[in-house]
Amino acid sequence: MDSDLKKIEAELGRLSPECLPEGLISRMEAAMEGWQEIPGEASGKTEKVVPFPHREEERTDRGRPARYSLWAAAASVALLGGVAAMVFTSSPGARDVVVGEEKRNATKPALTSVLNPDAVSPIELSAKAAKRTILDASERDVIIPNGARPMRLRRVSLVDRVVFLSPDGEEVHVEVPSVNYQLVPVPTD
Amino acid sequence: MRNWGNNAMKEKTSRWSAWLREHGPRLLLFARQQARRQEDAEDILQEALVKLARKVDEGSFVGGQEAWMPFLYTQLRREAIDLGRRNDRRKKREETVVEDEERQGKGEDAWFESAGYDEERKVLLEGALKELPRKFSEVIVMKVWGGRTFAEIGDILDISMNTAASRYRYGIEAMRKRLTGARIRGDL
Repeated sequence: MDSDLKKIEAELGRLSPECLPEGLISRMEAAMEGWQEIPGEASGKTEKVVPFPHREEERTDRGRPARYSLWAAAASVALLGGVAAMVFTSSPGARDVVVGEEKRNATKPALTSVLNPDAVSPIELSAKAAKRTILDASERDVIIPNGARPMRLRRVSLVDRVVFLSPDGEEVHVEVPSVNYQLVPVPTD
Repeated sequence: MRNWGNNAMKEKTSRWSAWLREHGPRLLLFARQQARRQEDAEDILQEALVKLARKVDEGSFVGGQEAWMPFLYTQLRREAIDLGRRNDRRKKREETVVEDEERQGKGEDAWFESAGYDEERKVLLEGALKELPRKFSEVIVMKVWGGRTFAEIGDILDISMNTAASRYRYGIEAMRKRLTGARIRGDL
């Protein structure tokens, strides 16, 4: 290498990489010590945690989607339970048990809990089609997490529709509604 | 949401603290070189460190502490590639915003300390390094600030030692060309 290149190499060597801010060191340390606590870590995915500002007036707005989401989740479970009851039940007797139980206790539609395990045989469903539809998207407040870059909160309502195919060629349609919150970087001057 | 803030956690974290303070800046520099944005660099650094910690804690890490850095360089690169793929899929939705972010990031995302070094020279060198094609700058970053040998860099990048050395030389040569004007003016 000629002397010019060596000079540049030497100049570069005099530069020191920026030190890690204390906050970042703490974050990395905590993540390294707490890897056991990370849900989904087994699949190699970690979640970025961004604290949201807690303001009184926002609580009412954000409370609603949480309840909706809860109901949506409950509806999904009930729907899946119903589908499982119909599809997984091989013996008509078992289905009668379910329906009879449901009639007696109409306020508790937890079908899977009353299935007779002996009368159930699993079948393999293959996914035929899957589609995610965005029902609604709305922009919320701009927030600045930990004094970092401003981000806009976006609420997206969507529904996942999956069509399964049973070995007999019977189609099973499953719909799972959900609400996602996304943080989108906001351009600033 | 995870809670990192309890006292027991703080006591345990000291195990990595000294090591992070010593090696963290070099790793973050490489992460910045690999990622498009500062936030992404911090994220991929966290992902890589968590993977290291997990392997060390489980006893499945092959090699001693001297092997941590090569492992982390390899991991950072993989994480950056994965993140790039995810961002590319998302880019269609956020194209304008991402472009704005990248444009802003070039100006304000400093890789190096200003203390003890002439600011103008630092900006010139840092700018030239950032403008290099990634395949050159990643070798330079690992060689100059990571203290890796060409053989180690070759292993990390899955290229031969000679290719790593060539990329390093071409990269420095490209920087020299970019900095010619500044050198003539006496800025460097």
